[in-house]
Amino acid sequence: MQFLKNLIFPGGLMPHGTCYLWTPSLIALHVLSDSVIAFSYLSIPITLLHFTRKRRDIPFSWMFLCFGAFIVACGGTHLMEVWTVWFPSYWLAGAWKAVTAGISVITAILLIRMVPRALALPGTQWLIDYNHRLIGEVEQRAQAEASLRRLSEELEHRVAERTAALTATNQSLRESELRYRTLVEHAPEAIVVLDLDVGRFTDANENAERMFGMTHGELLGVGPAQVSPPFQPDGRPTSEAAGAELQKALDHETPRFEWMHRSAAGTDIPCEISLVRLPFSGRNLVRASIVDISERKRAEQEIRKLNAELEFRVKVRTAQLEAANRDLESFTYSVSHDLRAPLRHMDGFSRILVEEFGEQLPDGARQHLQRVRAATLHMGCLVDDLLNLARVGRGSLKIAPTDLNALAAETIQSMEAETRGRNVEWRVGRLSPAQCDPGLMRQVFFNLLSNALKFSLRREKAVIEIGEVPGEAEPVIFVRDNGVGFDMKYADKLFQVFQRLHTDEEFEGTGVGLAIVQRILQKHGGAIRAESSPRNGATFYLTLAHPLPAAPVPLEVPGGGA
Amino acid sequence: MNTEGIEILLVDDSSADVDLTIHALRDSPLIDRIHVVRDGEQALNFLFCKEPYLERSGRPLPRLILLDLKLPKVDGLSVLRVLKQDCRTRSMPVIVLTSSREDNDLTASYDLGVNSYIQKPVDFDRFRETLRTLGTYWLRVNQAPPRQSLDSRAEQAE
Repeated sequence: MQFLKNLIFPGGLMPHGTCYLWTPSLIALHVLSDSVIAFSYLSIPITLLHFTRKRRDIPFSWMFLCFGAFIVACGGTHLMEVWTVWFPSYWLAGAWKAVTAGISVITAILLIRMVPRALALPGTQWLIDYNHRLIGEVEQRAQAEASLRRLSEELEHRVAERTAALTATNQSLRESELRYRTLVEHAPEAIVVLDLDVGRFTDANENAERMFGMTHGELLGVGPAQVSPPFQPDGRPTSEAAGAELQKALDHETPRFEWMHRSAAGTDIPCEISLVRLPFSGRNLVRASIVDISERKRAEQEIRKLNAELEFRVKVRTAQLEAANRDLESFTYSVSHDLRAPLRHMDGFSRILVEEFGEQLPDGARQHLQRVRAATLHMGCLVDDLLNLARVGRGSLKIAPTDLNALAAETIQSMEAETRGRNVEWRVGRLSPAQCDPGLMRQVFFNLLSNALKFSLRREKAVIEIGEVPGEAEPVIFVRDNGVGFDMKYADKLFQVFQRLHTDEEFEGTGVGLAIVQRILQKHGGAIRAESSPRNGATFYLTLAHPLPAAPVPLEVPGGGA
Repeated sequence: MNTEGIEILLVDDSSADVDLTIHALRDSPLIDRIHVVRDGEQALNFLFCKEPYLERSGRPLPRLILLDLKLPKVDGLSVLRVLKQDCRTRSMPVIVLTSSREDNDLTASYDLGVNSYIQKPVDFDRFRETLRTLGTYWLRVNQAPPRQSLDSRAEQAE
């Protein structure tokens, strides 16, 4: 303690102010200046310390610390200068200076030793350049890396693509194979593949196995010759015939031909074969599609047989018909010539009898003779009508475009004699032109219109109408009268030969006229139907070349009622 | 057999028809100038002056022939064919007078060159009327070719 006291307050020495003679201004100058220097010096190492802590990358940081210590020490000497103005601690001040001197020397020596190493440190420009180069290199490196990455990605992508493509190809190959298999296995026909280089089958479906009665393995050991008879039905040797057809297939034709196969059991199988060359590099493969046509052959045979039978029957029938026709012709010829002659004689001689011996005959006898004549004439009419009917049946149609209006008008005109003295109103509508036999059609009109006249005889005013039923797809002609009509329950008798719905006393007739009309229309492909009720007139509907519609539009009956 | 004034040759096999025809023409002036033969052969013999009609040689041919079709031996169509194919008899009017009006007969007759075709009506009154009309037309109204014998016609034809 004594030492410290002596060090700070030594006895016997004077404070430094005394040297300044305590001149306040001088003291103030020194004290202030030293204080400022001291504080400035003290502030520098703090800054340096801060700097080195922040910038640890700066080399030789310890040098800064040395500078710091040196400057602190220098600052301390100035503080000591201030202290010694008032306190004569010159030992202490001297000691501080000695310490400062030591630090200074060490710092100076360290600095000198450091200079070459500090000189070796790169300069800022170099650093900047170096930095730039580094940046450039880094960029290049980055670019290289990027392109490498790109390449790698691309490669990966291509590998993936290629893999996918391969997978797809594999898949479609598998599917195609499956499809082909299914196609072949489930085809309705037998399918075999023939390798022409070895002359044996290389593939066959189940149908082929079934058809030939062989296992798959057996079938693959043979060729066409082993599943066919030695000769084909046309007489050609099987090998020759097969060779010809296979050559066509090799020439890229697709031959289709009939072939006789023979199963393992020895049954001959008529087949139809189509050949096609398979696209197979390096090998001559031909696919044969074989259809068993036994059924077809049998059916053809059957049809041929039936046809022959039919032809024979047609021939027989035609001959019979021709004979019947000849008979009919000679019959009608005979009727025409021979049956009418006796009638003429009966009528003629009855007439002569009345003329020559009338005065000698009683009235009753004359009346009987008159009846004989009437019967004879009626018989004559019957014969003529029958001959007409037969003629219609035998003759061929002479179809021509016909104006039915003109035909109807002519027919009406030809009936002038029958209508004389009667009140008859003709109502003729518009008729479509028709394709028909005009002569026969005239007869149709004549028969229908004379019927209409006949059965309306007792009407005060006969109304007879001809026209077409409106609204029908095909023309339907109608002929209508306001005559006595008939009961529909007898309608089916109307068109039968010699069938009459009235007695001779009521209305004359032979019962052939409507039969002739029907025959003529049927010959044209048409039809006729009648509608009526007693006392209400009758309507005949007729068509020429097509069936009658189910029910033609009912028409209002003109002048209907009793 | 005096056949000098014959203007009409009636060819018919039926005696009844012949009687009726004669009766129908009873009141007509034609009645005395009709000669009747009963089949086709006789008809040809008469016209071509063969047995038993040799004496007709040189006499004029009839002005009219009434020909039935259905005849024994040679039928009416055959007679017609011969007459119309022979140049000596071709111009002689031939009228078919028959029961039938079959289309075949009509067609064949006209094809062979018949001048008229008449179907005998059953009604005697109409038959009589028809015959009278026929006679009047062919012998009075119609201008017939000049009356000549077969031979003179043959000469003419040569």
